[in-house]
Amino acid sequence: MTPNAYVRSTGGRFARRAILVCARMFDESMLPDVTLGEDEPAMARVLLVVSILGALALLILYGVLFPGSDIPALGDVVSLLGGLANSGIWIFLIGILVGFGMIFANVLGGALED
Amino acid sequence: MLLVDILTVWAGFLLIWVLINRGVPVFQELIRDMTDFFMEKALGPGADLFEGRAGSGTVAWMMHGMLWTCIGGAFTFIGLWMNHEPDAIASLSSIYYEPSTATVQTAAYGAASGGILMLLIGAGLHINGRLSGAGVASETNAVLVSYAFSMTLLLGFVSDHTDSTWGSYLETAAGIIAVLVMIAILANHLLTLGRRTHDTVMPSQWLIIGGLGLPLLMCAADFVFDLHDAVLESMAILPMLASGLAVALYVAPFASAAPLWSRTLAGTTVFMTFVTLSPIGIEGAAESSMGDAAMLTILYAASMVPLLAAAGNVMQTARTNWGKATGNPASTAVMIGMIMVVGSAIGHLFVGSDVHSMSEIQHLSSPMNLLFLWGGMGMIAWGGVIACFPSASGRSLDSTETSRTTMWLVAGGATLAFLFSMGSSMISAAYDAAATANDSIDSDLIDMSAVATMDVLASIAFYTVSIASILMMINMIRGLFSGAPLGTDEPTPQSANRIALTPGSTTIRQLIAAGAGADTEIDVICDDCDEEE
Repeated sequence: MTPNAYVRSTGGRFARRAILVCARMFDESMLPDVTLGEDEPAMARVLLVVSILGALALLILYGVLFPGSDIPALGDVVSLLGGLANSGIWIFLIGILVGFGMIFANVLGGALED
Repeated sequence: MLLVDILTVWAGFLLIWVLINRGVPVFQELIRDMTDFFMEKALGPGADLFEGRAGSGTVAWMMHGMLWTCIGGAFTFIGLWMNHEPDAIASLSSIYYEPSTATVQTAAYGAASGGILMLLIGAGLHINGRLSGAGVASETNAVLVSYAFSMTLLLGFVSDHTDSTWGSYLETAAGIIAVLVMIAILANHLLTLGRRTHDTVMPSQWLIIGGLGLPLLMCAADFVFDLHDAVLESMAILPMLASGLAVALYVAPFASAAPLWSRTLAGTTVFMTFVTLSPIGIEGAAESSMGDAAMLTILYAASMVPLLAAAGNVMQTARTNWGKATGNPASTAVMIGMIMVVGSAIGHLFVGSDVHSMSEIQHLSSPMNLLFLWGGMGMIAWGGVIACFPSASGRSLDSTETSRTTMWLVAGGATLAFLFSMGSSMISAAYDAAATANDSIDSDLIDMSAVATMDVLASIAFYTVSIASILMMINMIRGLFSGAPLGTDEPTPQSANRIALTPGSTTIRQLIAAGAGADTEIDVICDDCDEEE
């Protein structure tokens, strides 16, 4: 066991190898919390979006199953938007608007980069 | 008379078949040269706006199509939401936007169907060019008319929101431009086909040409024969339906790396698609006698044959190389899409037959349209984009996982939205029937919360489709700008133009980790070096 194994296992592409080395030398309960790598697959971001959407959908479902105790609309929470966003649809529309913003940003970024 | 109108449709298909196989005697070369001239040189400065690079026509149609699909998806979601909360976006009246639920739903259907049709036409351009072996005849013209068709969708979208006579003017302008665009695309396809390097015309090519050509022929024939409205309604859906089948019959063998399972089924799909009338999208504009209704029902039932044949062919083709086919999201999307098309067509068979007789189940029309458009054609278009866009642009999509995830989001969202909205409409119709049958029931006192619940769930389910469209659009944009060039498995990372280093040793790995690429300029900055020298 060398200190380098701990240093390497703090992240990076050697993390998995370092953990294997550590596991051979120590009992698993002694492993440090160093399992974070640097890889960022595109699927992770998609899963994040799906998770957020799922959470929102469940919130809305709560309001459906228990009418009378709906989740507050955007206008109920942000008083500035009280006159504008007085429906639950705005929570969803914000996601769509952000999506269109991302489309525009990607086009702009790609065009300027070229 | 309906029988004469049906014979006209068959004669139109026969004419297309003869022209493709035999050409136009004597005038063949003249027509070809003149069409070629009108496609590019006659356009003058318009044609100079675009480079006409190989595949650019497909890319332009698909980018425009996906943008309109995003817009259509967003407004379809709003329309579904407004089913249970008509005042949901009433606060936008402060900026003078206060559409009714019907207005939003009409505009959404126009944008979504136009967008998905653009995706299918884009895929069709790539497919015909590839199968002909010579590429698309005029990429410049294809790019140019994609902007024109996008303009028609914009005009249609605005006209749907406009109640005055200006709305009618805009709609007329959109229709005229759309017909001209379709003529241009058809001419491009025919020129491409005329330059093919082998004799055989593939099933997908027949479907593409027939799907675009037969409605145009019937449009002209209507001025002479005053065709039955049921025939015209069927012709309206034919470009999308035939293009969808063409894409399905191309993507399945492409993804499976195996030819189509059956020649007979492929031929049946082509022939029966054009000699029957599809009940999909029928709204019952026609006044039909019982005899006409019986004949239409037979033709509607016969239109199931090409769909079942195509679905069976696609599934069996994928089955010959199942591992490879299911590993490709394009093939999976097409298979799901074909199942949805068959399901929605069977539903439309009942709804379409009913519209000319008792009109008892018309409340199912809207959910069936949603299933056909998004679940059927949408999924097949998704498969077309995933399979054809990288080949056309020369770069892979940004993320295969995103393609796969969006495909499942669309499939799941469209299916659930269909089921919930169908449940809602059935409950609503049952309540209405009960209230009508029993005078003692006050319809205002019936608890309709179950309908509202179903509508909420339908709109939430469809929200995933809206988001999936946006994610796929971003996937396409990133792929177009920075996707890996085809032929290499390595991604093309963003590399820094210039990196500054201080004197000392380093490794190539550290430089790459810092963002260096093959073309990165490295400056070694040394404040003390000049003094030492």
